[in-house]
Amino acid sequence: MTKALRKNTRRSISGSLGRYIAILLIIMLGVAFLTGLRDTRPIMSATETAYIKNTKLYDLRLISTIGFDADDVAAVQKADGVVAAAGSVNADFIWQHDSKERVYRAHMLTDNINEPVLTAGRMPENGSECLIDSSRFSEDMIGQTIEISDSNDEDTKKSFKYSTYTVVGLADSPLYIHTLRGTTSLGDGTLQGFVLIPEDGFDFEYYTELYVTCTDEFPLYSDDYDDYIDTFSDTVEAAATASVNARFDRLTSDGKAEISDAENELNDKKAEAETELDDAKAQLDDAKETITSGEAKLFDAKKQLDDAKAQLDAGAEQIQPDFTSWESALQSGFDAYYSGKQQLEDALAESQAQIDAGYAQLQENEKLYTEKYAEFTSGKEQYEAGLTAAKDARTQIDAARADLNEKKAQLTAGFAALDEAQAQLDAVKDTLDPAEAEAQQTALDMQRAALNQNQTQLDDAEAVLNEQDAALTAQEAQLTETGEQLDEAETALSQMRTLLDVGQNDYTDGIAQLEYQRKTQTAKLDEAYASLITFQNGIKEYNEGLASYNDGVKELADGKAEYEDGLKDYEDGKKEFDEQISDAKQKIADAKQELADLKKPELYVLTRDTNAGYVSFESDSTIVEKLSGVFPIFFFLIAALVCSTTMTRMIDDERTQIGTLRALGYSRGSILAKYLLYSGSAAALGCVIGYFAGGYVFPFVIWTAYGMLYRIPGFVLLYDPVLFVIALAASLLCSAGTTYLALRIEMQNMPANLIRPKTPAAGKRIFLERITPLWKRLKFLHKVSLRNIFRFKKRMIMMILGIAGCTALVLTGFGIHDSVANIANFQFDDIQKYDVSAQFSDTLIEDKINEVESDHKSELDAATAVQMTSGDVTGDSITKSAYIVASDDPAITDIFDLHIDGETVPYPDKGEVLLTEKLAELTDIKTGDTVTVSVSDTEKAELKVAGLVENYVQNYLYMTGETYAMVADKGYEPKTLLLRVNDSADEYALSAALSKTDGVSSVSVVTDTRNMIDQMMQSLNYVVALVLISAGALAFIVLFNLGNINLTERVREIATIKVLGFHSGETGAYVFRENIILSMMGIVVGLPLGVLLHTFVLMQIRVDMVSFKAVIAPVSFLLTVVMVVLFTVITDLVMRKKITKIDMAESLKSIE
Amino acid sequence: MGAFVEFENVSKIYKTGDVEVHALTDASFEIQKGEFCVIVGESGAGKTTLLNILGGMDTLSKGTVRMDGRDISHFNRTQLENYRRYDIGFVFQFYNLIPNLTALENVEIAAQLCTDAIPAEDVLRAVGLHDRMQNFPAQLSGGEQQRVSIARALAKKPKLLLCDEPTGALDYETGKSILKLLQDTCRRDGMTVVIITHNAALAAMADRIIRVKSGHIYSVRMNEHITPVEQLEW
Repeated sequence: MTKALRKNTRRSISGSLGRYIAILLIIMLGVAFLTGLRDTRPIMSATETAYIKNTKLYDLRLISTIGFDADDVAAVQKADGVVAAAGSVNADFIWQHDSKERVYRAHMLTDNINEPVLTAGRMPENGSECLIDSSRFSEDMIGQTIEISDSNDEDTKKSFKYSTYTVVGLADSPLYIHTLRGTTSLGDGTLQGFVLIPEDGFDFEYYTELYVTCTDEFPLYSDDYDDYIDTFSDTVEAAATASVNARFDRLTSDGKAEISDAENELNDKKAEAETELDDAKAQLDDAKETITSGEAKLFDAKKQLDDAKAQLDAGAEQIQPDFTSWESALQSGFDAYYSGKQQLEDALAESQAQIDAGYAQLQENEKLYTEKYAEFTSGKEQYEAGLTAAKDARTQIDAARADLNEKKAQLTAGFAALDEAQAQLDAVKDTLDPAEAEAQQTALDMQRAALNQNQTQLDDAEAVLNEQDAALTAQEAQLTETGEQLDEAETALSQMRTLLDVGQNDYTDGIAQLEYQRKTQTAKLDEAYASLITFQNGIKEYNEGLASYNDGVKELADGKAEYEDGLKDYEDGKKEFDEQISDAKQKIADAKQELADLKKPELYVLTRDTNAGYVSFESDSTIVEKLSGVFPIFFFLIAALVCSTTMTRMIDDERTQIGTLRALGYSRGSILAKYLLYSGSAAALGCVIGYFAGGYVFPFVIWTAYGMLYRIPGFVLLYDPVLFVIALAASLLCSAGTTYLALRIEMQNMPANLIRPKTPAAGKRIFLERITPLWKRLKFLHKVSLRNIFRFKKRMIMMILGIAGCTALVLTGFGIHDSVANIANFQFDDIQKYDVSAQFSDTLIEDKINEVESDHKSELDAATAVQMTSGDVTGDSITKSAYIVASDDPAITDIFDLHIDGETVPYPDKGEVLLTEKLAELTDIKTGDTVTVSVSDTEKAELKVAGLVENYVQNYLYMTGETYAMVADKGYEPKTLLLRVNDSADEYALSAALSKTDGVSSVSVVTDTRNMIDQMMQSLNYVVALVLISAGALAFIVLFNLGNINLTERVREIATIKVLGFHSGETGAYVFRENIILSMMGIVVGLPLGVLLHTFVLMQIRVDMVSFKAVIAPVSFLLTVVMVVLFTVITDLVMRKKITKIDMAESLKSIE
Repeated sequence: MGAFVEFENVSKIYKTGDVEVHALTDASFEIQKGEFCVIVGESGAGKTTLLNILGGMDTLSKGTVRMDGRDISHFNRTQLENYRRYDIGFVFQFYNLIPNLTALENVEIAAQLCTDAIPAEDVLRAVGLHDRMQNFPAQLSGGEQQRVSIARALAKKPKLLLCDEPTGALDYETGKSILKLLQDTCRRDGMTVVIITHNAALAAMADRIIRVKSGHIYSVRMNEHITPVEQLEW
């Protein structure tokens, strides 16, 4: 290939990019659809396989009536082919949250089997932690707790070690592949989700189930696997049975020993507990006594305190008559005391001062007296002396006189005088100094002597003596006067003395009086003070007393409370003791009974077929597989057809160019290479993109859709190289292959011929023209279009086929949706007309049914008792299981509307059965055949098929109770009550009410089942949507491509008519009238084709459980037409734009 | 009242990116009604541009074009469509007949555009194809096809017949006969005919000769000595 030719090829591509891309896209879509759908089932399987392999889903699940212990697990582990074995327990519990009771199933986390896949958080590290269902909870739950609600029964609570579990992570579990969690006997019967708890978190005696895995070398759902499991389960069963039986024997003997041990222990414990209780009782009695005496003491104290209070009140009253408080009274008392004391001191000091002043005066008077007395004394002395002297003188004179006068008489006179003197002296002698008196006496004596001597002298001296007598008489007068004065002074002095003495006495008395006052007043004050202190102390004492009294009261109350508690504890303890004892006795009795009742253990070996998710995944993925059968091939064929048309027409178009190249000397090979490169590259590119994109997008979308039903994490991508090679080969064949064929024909022409425009197929009249009346009525331009269409028949057929194919695909898509969408409606609106199904634990008798009916009269439309069991139906050779519905209630036909093709089928008579269509088809049974119906290996009967009935979900066998009794040994035991509610009633309310009714073991609401079916079909709808989108896309590309081809082929013609003055609308109509007519023809052909394809596809996707009704809703036809027309219109609009862009100068160019 | 066709300082500039191509610069000329005008120029001189503008297939950048008193230079798309439809008859070098239509139908397709069109059969008869009416283009010779093309243009009773190299794809004799047909149409029916050609020899038969060179109107002159078609040589 030369450089120029390579350039030319590139130009061809860029110059007709629309066409190139169209080929690429058509191939891409075809391949994507083909490989995508084909890959989906393997991918679904691979993903599930990987999941099951990684999580080590069990192969067998063993259940025994006596559970399993570690030895049993070990024994099974040793059996041939066992990879892992693990004991486990599970327990359903109610967890009330968001104010609703919900039931969850707790499973034990097992090693190496049924391993969860963490989606958030971490694995539990101890028994009080758990993982929860990731499809039911969000990550917000991590760190929160789940709770075994109080409303659970004792057995449930007992099987859990804790009452709350901390959520540490979210997980998926292979046990729950399906998002439906199943049913439970608790609550509303719906299992909300699972919880995974470590072994430590359960309180259990024995494992209730035992999981076993074997080799994973066999593909899932394969016959090889089933065969292997058959033999494997026998091996495992043998091993498990042996171990369990051995344990049973041990158990019974151990049980007896244990019971007697327990009895002994009970007695011991009982005695021990009784002693303890008695001790406690004694202690309590002591306490009681203490409390009583305390109470008496407190009573006394209270009385004392009241007395003290009265006293204190009196005291205070005294101190302050209207006292407000003791303290104020006390304060005023103290105030009074201190002021009294002050007053007293002041008064005493004043008195003292007065006394002292008086005393000073007295002292002064005394002093004056002493002076006066001294004065008097000296005057007296002088007087005495004078008197003496005078006397002396008298005496002398007298003596002398006497001597003289009376010489012997006078001497006696002198002596008389002397005696008188002597008397005088004696008179004053007391007052005189004794010595002086003595002296005076002496003197007197001497004088006497002298007198005697001098008597003569005295007479001599009588004259002198008379003189001297005269002088002396004068002197004596004077002395008498002085003596009188002295006496007066003496009297005054004496009076003064008396006054002084009185003053002295007064002073002494004052002092004494003062002293007395001081003493008495002070004593009074002291007394008052002392009483205040006493009062104060009294208050203090009272307060202290009160406080301690209050303490005492409190203490007593505490003591009492303590006593009450103690008493209660004692009573509780006693009660508990009694209960425990009776419990223990009961338990022992139960255990004895149990031991007596113990039957030989039974062992059940269950396969994965009992796991609903595992089983339904198979049927769901089978639907997808079936869908990927013919459908994508049809799709691909259309793509191939359109692709080859496109290429053929391209070769036609470029005929002159080919001729030119050939004329220039290019070899056939290089020209072939150019076109093969063009078509081949578009196809190969489209194929590669389609293969990888489709291989991802389709499985991914379908997987996502089924992800709503299944929790299977991860997504395994699978690319099947064989499929790729096939797809690539097919793509190349329809692009490059057709190109080659078309080219080969052209190549046989000589270049000269090729250069010339291909002679248009000689002007032919089309068929329609021969119907002249019709032809004549057609508008001129319509004639042109018709002639254009019919002129090239091959082209026309190709185009019609392409459009028809797409139409058929779209219609099939809508049709599958119709068939799928309404299954639940068909089944539950038209056939099974009950809303609620209640399962009773005993056979329903008329009374019970009437009771339920009358209880819910306002809600019920109909109620029928039936027996619903599963059984097998065998035709000639094929056996299928089905639900058996048996009823003798004539109202059964209100509940099951049995019909076929719009005609009601009567309920069968005795010995007859009705089969659902699908079941009949599966087992190859026809009306009138005899079939074997069995409910177990031994219970079976031959029955006549009275007819077939329409049914969509599950397979059913209808018969009367009598007929059922022919099959089953136990006879007809209707335990199911099917109820239909009226329009105004709520089936859930009825369900809730029924659940509480006696004898009802479970209630299910049909809406739930219906929702489940709807959900399943919803997933299928996603697949349908995918088909629809693909078909729509293909239709659009095909239309666009064909429109584009038409346009490019006619550029010159279009330019010419534009020059002729066609309006743009007219130009568009001129060009597209053909397209629209072709589309219409395509639709007309496509719709019946679609109906065929739809029927065919539905036949393909049949599964046992669900039968699809091959219906296409009228609206689907309408939608299909609208869609194709819409695509045509869009193409038209886009092409009109292109027409506007066509340069009129094209018309001036020479013909290529 | 000016001329039938008036070009006044018409320029056409094509812009492709930054490059400006002056296809026509300051072209001014007139054509009178009923004239047989030949526009002659070398390839690339701008005569196709002139034709496009005159035929309402392209717009102009500057200047004014009047046809029969109407300014067509500012027509919008619809106006141009109508102008082409009712005022212009176009004869292509390669006839541009629609292969799926018979000769008659090819004329009819144009005739049905106008309300007062000449019946197709009449036109075909006029161009001398009365016995080939039901033939498809592929069954006609080049000259016959061109006659059909002319018939198609005339059927609409256009004001102006524009012919782009009408003889370009034909042999000498046939070409002459076509020219004769055109000239006859002009003379007999008073149709204004404009022929665009690179063949200067044709100028001799024209009433008016417009020479185009490098996008400029080189000369416009009236032919004093009109040569009959039969005497043309090239």
